[in-house]
Amino acid sequence: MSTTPTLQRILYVEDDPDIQLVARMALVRIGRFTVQVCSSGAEALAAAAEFNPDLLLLDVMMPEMDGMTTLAELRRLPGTRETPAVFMTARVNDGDVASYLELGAIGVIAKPFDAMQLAAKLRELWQTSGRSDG
Amino acid sequence: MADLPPDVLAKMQALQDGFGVRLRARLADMQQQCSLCRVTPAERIQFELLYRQLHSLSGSAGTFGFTALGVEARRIEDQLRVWLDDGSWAQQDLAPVAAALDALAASLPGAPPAA
Repeated sequence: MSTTPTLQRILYVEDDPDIQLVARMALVRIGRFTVQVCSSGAEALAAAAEFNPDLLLLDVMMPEMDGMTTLAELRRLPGTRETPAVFMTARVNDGDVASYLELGAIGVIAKPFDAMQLAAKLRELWQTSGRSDG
Repeated sequence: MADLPPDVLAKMQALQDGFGVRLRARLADMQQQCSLCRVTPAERIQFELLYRQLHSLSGSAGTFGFTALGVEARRIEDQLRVWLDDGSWAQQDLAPVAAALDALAASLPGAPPAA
C-alpha cells in the first residue's frame, strides 16, 4: 500500500465554484489539511503526480469526465494507483453507494454537506478504512 | 464549531452570503434555460444543461443554508432525471417546471411578488 500513515494531503476535484470555496475553506482552516483543488478530471490527472495526495476527494457529476471516470484514470497513474478515494455526491441511494464502493472508494459524503463537519467526516472515513489518525 | 476562530466563522458567513447573492442570477439562468428547452424541445443537450444546473443547485444550496430551496431543486431535478432516463423529455410539458423555477426565484429574500 502506497498510502502514508496519516491523512494530510487531499486532492479535491469539484467543478462547482461555490462548493469548491466552502469545502476548501473547511478542509484547510478546520481540518488543517493541505489541499489541491482541481475543477475537472483532466486537471486532477495533470496535478496528481506532483501533488502526491494521501486521499482523493471526488465530485461525481462533472461535465466531460465524471468522478468515477476520473478515479479510473487516476488508478492508471503509478502515484495514485492505490490512493484512497471518497466520493461527494447527491446520489446516495444504496445502489449508487454500492457502485462507488465497488470502484474502491472508502466512503461517500452526501451533498449537500455540513461544511463544519467535512474534515471530521473525512478523518472518520480514513480511520474506518483501517488507516491511522489523520 | 464554537471552537473555531472568529475569522474562520466570518469567512464561512461571507461564503454563505456570496452564495445567496449569486443565487438570484443562477435561478435566472435556469429560468432562461427552461424557456430555451420549451422553444427547442428536440435538443436534448439543452435539457441536460438544465438538469445539470438543477443538480448543482440541489447539491449546494443546503450547504449554504438554503435547505428548503435545495430540496425543491432536488424534486425538479429528479423529475427531469426520470424524463431523461425514459426518453420522454422531448414530449414533456415544461410549464410546471417553469412555474416551479419561478416560485423558487420568488421565494428569495427581496424578490418581487410573483405575478
